[in-house]
Amino acid sequence: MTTRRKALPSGIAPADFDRAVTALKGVLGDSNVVLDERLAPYNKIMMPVPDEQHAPSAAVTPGSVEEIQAVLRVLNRHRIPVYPISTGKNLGYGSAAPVQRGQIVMDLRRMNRIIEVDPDLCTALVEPGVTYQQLYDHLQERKLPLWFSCPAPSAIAGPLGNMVDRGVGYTPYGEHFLFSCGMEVVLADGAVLRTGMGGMPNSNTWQVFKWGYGPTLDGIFTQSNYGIVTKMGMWLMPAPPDFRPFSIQYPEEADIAKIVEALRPLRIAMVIPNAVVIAHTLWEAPCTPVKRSDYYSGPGAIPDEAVARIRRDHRIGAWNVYAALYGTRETNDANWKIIEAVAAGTGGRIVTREDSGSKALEYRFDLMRGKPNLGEFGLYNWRGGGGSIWFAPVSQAKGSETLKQMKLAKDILGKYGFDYVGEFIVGWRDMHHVVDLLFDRSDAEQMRKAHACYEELLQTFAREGYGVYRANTAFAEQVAASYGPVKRSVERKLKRALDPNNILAPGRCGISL
Amino acid sequence: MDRRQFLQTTAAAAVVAAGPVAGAPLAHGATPAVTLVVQTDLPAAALLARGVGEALARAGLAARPAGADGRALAQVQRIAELLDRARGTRLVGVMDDASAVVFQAVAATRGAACLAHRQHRIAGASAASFLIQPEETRP
Repeated sequence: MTTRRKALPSGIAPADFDRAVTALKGVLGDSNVVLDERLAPYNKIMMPVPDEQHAPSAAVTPGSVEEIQAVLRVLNRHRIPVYPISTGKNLGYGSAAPVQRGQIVMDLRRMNRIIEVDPDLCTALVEPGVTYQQLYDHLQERKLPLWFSCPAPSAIAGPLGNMVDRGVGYTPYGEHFLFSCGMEVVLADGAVLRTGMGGMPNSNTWQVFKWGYGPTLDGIFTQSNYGIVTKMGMWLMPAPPDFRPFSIQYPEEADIAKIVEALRPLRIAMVIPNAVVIAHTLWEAPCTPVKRSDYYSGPGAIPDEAVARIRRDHRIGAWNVYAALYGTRETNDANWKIIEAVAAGTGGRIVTREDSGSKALEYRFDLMRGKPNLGEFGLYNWRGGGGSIWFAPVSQAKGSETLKQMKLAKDILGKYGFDYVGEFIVGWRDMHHVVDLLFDRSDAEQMRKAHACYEELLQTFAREGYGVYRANTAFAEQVAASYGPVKRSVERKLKRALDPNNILAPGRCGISL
Repeated sequence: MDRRQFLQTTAAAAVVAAGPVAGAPLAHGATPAVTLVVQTDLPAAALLARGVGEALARAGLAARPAGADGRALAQVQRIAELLDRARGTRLVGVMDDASAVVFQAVAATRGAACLAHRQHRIAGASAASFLIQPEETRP
């Protein structure tokens, strides 16, 4: 007799699925195969689509590479797809829910060892279940003067998952894939690949030299479904003798163009060594915190007049720059004069921790020294209803791009009744324009509008040549399509070669057979 | 509290209390106690929680209150402590949207299942309520 399940993998008969579940229990034990109502933690949270669309059929929690290999043997035999997650806390980009209904979630949180931290070479080797908070506590307990870069929801997210998704952070090591070094990957056939120097017996250079010999493979295991990354090397930053975070507030929305023009040279020359965040009033307000309902409770997007009142009442800039100096007291004193001159020359007001009691400033300053926190979650209180999806197009770091992108985004958001809550991040030569589309996820009409709005954002920005650097799981296919047919064809050829049964997260980042 | 607000709160509290909390005995048959985690600096949450507590009492369930302000509910360690205190009970949380997302994420990391989640509008303010079945009491 078969068990009736709410969701099954596409094309799999209930009896076959039950046989696979029995085999998985044999491999992992009953307690590491999650079914039915216990699957609730793996349901989608933020995607503006019905829950059923991304409902998992089961979840497995392997505790080792050997158990992952055994799971893959079962799933290859039954042709059942699996969706690996590390900590599954990538909320605005999709959370733990599988990309397609019925996929089995492979939750790697039990693999949570910090295998090594080398205080001399400033490297670490971690497993997928390690959280940033765990790594932070590890370094603090051992009094190691080492920092890492983490994203905004860092305390509950993990470095391996964030790197694999090509996430970013706020210290000089903020481009996380760039500062990774060496991966261990379990392929669909169970083979274990170590990238870079990791394949060489007796080598001790896996975490210090990325390239090895021949083609560099690490990149194909990021934003893809060609393997399950089970270890990752990462570079840590020596804590600088002097850390000087600052904010510069600007009064007018039109100031954004000159801000980027003034700061880009400092960023490229590494006078400012970390990514420069330029946050709009409505990104700052929820995290300050300011209540939207105190300023506007009518239908549609908040009017510009109300946004201006928020600025005045709470001393928030139209744009709020966040960056820091990292160095010795002497080098920072010298560079501080440059920052003061740039602020004065562009009409900005420098704000330091001593000048402000704002929670927004506090969490930003902590992030710039790699201290995990959850301050940015305040965004979810802005609209009420807690729904959020990130829209993050990339552009050149030029002032001329900013107002054009902001107008495009604000017009589309306004058409659907949503507020423009955005920030620009000058990475190095590129700029990410991150927009948080905030909606009420308990309201079916707002869900529908959020979905339609995101689609229009994607299509409109793509027509202008702006691609997104990451995307919510629900929109993976559309984003992949925007990057052209040849790239997708190559991706499918790689998939066929590495995963001929198409069992590893088919559909993730639009890749499937 | 005006009459409209009172009715909103009472209705919302009744819905929360009538969910799977009252109707779901533990595997060994005992009726669960309930830990009621309330965000203390959110008036809408406090109002709703009071109504939930009263509704649970009418259903014969003892609610053990546990308060925390919004700052505490943004800290993983503090949430972990609240989950530890809720061991052996069902946990009903009433807090703002951001805190609810974080709380449920931390609980999920420990293997606890969120059985129900509801959004509420009370006197114009948004609040979320949810029910967590701590890992120790799973069937």
